[in-house]
Amino acid sequence: MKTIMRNKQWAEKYPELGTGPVPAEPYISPEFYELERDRVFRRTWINVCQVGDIPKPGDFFVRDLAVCSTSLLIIRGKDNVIRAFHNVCSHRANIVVPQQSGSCATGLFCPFHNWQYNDKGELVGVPDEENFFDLDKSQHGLTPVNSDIWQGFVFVYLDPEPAESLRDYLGGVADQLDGCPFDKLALMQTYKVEERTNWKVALDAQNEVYHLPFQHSRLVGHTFLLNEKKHTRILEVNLYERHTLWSCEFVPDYELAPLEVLLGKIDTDTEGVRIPQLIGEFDFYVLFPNMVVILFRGPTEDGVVTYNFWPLALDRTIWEIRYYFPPAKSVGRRVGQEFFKCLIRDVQQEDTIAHESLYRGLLSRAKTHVQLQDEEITIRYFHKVLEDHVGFYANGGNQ
Amino acid sequence: MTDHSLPEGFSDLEPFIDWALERERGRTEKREASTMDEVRAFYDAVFPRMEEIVAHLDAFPLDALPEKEERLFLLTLSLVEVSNLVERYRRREAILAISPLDYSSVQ
Repeated sequence: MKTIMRNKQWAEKYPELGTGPVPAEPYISPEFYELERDRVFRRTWINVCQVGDIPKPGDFFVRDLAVCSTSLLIIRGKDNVIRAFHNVCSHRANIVVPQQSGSCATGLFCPFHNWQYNDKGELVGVPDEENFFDLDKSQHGLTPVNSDIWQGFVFVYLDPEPAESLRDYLGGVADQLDGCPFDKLALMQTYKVEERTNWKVALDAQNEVYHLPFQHSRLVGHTFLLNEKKHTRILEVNLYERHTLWSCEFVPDYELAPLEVLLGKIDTDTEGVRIPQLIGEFDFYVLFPNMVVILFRGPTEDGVVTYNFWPLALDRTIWEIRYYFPPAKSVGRRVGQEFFKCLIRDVQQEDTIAHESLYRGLLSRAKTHVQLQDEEITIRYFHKVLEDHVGFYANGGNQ
Repeated sequence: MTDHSLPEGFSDLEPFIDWALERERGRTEKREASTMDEVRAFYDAVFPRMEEIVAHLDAFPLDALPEKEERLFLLTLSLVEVSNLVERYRRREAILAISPLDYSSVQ
């Protein structure tokens, strides 16, 4: 056990961050949301999918990015290069691909007038082309979007001129997770839930463990390390240029539920993928603005969970949750993975209630600020980074 | 007619064969549609047999289980599906969460 139980240690580590309350307005302000759309989501690197979503040459994946009012088409070309485009036809701007995913090995056809694009987004077919006026097909491919890949995660940058490379953007997080064996894990399951909440309410609610002994008392209330007063204490906090990490240790001898005891007996597989980059046993990275990468230590193998919070509107958010595990080779191992997935899923279904309930409370404007304790420092930092991008208060705010 | 049989030695679990559902969504729907007594009866029948079941199934490759073994395997996933309800919540009234059916799941 490496965790230090001392109070207020994170404010000591990051004194420049201060300890004051955080304004509630950004959660509920239409003006703030409009600024976020332009200054955050169009001007940062956004994770849109993972290479496993487009495993074969010619495969495509569509990501509707409502917050940027666009639909993106991510294609693995026949040359194995992954490219991103606006999913918008050059003819009259129809959405080219209505499906979520598929293969364009034989071409992409806009359903409106059958304009045809190839796997590189080039316009290769126009019905009745002779009846157009000076139409140069080579100039009318799909509009490209900057994209890059880090550890199998595909990111895009909507603004045509990225301020920095993806690697520089990820900075210390990429340094910490270099060599992480993401490629040995496979997507096991994706969940999506649409919530009546602001995207930051949902993200912030996940970005601390203070609530676990209370809100999740029955499911995981005593899983993470607690001090002598039964309050959570995290092992480590790192604040990167924009991103954050908190890391926890599990209670070494926490009381196992009957099925957990049984899993120890039935999972006799001795091999398991381990993630050497783990700092504690549950490492929670927020990749600004809207992605979370969780690495966790299991009894016999490690795994990864990712979240993406997709704003649909100021007050509507899709929470996308993905579970990645090493492919199971034995029944006992597979049952163990199912157990972990269902446990966290059930926790998340409790979380959704809270995300919506918090938003209702914020909408009342009964509270102008929210109070944060030392264990919630990554939320505090997130709001600082957000304001640095948005400049809402720097320009007088909407008081 | 659909074959509902389980491997030799496990035929006593056949009354619970309607829990052998291929998709997680189906298992969640079954859990939600069942009374607490029905959920407990399923749990109580399968839980004590788990070590035996897994020992039997591990003789086969996981990605190519024969039909009867596949059904038996799906019972183990349904056991996991109900385990939090039985072991941790113990009664539905203790749950403060959205309906699991509001979660769209893509396997």
